[in-house]
Amino acid sequence: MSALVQAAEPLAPYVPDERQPWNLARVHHLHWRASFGATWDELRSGVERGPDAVLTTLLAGTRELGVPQRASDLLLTLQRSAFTSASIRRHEAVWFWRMLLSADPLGERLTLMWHDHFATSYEKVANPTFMANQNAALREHARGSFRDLLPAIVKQPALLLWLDAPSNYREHPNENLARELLELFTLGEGNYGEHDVREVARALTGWRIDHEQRFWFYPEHHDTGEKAILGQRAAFDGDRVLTMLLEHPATARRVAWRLASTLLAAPLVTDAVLDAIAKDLAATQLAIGPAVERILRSNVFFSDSNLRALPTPPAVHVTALARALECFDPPCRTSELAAFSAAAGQQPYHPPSVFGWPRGKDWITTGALVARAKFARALVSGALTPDAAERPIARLLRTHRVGADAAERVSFFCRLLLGGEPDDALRAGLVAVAASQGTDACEEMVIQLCSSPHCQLG
Amino acid sequence: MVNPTPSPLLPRREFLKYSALLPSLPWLAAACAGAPSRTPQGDRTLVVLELNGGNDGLNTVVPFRDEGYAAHRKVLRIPDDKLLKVGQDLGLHPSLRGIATLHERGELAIVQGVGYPDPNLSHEVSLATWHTARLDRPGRAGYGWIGTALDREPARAGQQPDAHRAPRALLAGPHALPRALRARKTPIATLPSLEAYLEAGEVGTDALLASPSDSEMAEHIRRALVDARSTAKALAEVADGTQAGARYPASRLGKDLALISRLIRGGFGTEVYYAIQNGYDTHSLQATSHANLLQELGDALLAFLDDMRAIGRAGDVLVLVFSEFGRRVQENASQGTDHGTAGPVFLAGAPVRAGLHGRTPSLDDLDDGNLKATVDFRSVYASVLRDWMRIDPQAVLGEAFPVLPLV
Repeated sequence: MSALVQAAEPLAPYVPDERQPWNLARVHHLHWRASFGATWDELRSGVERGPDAVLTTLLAGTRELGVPQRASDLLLTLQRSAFTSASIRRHEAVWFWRMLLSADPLGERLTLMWHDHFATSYEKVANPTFMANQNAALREHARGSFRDLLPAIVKQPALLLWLDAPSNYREHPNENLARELLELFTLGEGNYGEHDVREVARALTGWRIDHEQRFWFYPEHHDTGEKAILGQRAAFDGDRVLTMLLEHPATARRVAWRLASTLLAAPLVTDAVLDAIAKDLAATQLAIGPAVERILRSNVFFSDSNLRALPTPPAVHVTALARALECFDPPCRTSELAAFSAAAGQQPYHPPSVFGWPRGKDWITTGALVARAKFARALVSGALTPDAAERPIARLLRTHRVGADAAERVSFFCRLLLGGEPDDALRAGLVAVAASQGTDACEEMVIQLCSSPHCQLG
Repeated sequence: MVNPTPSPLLPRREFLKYSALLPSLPWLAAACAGAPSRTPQGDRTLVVLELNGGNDGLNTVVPFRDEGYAAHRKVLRIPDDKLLKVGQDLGLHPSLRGIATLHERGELAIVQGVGYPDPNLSHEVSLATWHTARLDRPGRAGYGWIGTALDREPARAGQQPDAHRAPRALLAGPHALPRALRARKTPIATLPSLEAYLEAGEVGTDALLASPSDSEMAEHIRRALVDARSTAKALAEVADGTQAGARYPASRLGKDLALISRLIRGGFGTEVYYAIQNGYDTHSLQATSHANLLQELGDALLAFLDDMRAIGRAGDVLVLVFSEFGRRVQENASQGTDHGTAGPVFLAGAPVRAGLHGRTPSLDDLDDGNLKATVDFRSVYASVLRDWMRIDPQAVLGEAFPVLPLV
């Protein structure tokens, strides 16, 4: 019965029932998949408020719980210092600050997703301000229309430099930007030919950066001749190519894939789901926010097979742990969050290539797991919050009135970090670690929980 | 003679030193006990070096007598007298002095014109093709050729399947796992740096990782954690006192090859090491960046093989150097080159059958501006699999390819 319903309406809305109740596991799932984790108070209040209220807050970007009063002042200070110092490390720290404390964590997840889609690395751009401006544009359009996002990003100096557009002359077009525009940003592999790459490169000639380091179209460098692109012949220029690509059904499909594969476990990203999202996108001028909302409110998003089924990307993992362990008041060293995320394989502003970061299972390498374990040890020991009067675990135990019993502590931290009680093996293993540590704290148990297979999933 | 005399006793002596320090480790005892009886084959190590981004093969091994070269490369042409000649018609880029030295020593095989039918000019697709040795879409999304080879072959003698075993394949350096190393069941490790493991403290506990997890994804992570734990333990044992003897360049690649050397001299027992040199996607202002990359490559590779010779392991180590594609024959107006097709593959080390293999593609006979491959890359793999790893190539590659006399 439910299989039939799903087949007919792949994104049918989620309605809690006995089989799929609104509970801690689902609140946790929503926050770890579509946000950057949650504090114990956010989880508890989420269960009480119900799915509609929690989703509305998340979609509107109006988080209040677990956002310290002075967070926004501090953000401004950090941001000013990042632009003044023109240091990419400071910009990384600013972004992690947003992920950890912004009122709009979904917006930050989507910004990170688009950064992956339009993967541009400081390694080549070598200009922190260009990177920060690109980041601001990604954020501005993160849940707007892809029709605005694409030109806004493609015409940013960061991306133009990254893909060699400034050296794109009429006499000899450079194919780098043309190829990635077709393969990665819009249509996707298999929807264009080598001939199209060469012709699009011709159409993009003249796209440069001016003396004030802004995008500028230089007609004298533009090839005004006729081009044959995707079966159409015309004297295409760059803007016409973008328009044509945005109207192509393969683009809606690729955007649908980007959204679905970020929010759903791989087996759930079916043709039926992609078709449904792509259809919505095509009908709404590629509006991203409504498509995201439809996925987040869907039954498939809250289905059992989507719960804790995707490895959490490193940037989300480190931020979510810092958030869950309430390492933000006094402020956490978000430059350290950035460094640990990098060690685990994801350094924002430095994607490994035009293809962005690994996905799903590919996050899990031995080296990455070791880096995650090292992070858990540093976080729990208070190394990221040196100004705090108390170490994080002791403080959590006190503020949430968790007793001294090892089993009770294991239960609390599993509910906080995994969204539910552990299975017997995990419980026994953790209780053994906690019991061996005495009653004053249970830091080693939390470190092992943070490093466990279950805690890498969200 | 520039090379120091090989001293085959050194690694064994180091081994004994460690065994005295750590008498209770079963894998070490087994490795030491097994050492004298190990066959040469049992020590064979493959090092795969990926030149990521698409190396300009035409300016790496330059067919300087082909008139097409000067015709297509106006700005990027390397003058004849600068080239390091490796034959009647071919010369290495002047920055490849390290590799030219290997050529002079008879430790370099150059396979010209390596590619595959119906080439794809996307980095991702072409890399996946080389990594999986499959040309079809589902195949390219599957396991890697190295992972598949190791999945098929039991771990070699001396490798104990216990908690201290070294991984059978290892990626050195802070990179994402290349698809070539994706395996169904073989333990594979990534090693951003030695310190990354040594400073992490205890990763998991035996009790916590003992029982299989309920979901497929959690189980995948559990197995990787078990591998990480055993790798960490094995690394702790090679970490002390095994500094590389040779001087390595300070480049990323130099560091990664120094790390691999450190593991080899520590008796780590990993069968396949993987290193990646990024930066070959030279669409603009190529001359300087390409020269720098090749300089790093040649210097690091020469240092590594010198090092292997110094520790008496020269005969055990084969290096395979490849890139996902070559670049367009005609340079672009940005003083760079766009994505192309076939390119040279290097095999380096004492075991190689030195010299030129394959046929250099003609610059008169292009396919839409690109070189026509003369050797299928799977023939190179087949040769390495059969003649070096002693693994049936057809079982790994899915079909039979002509084997070249490379090893």
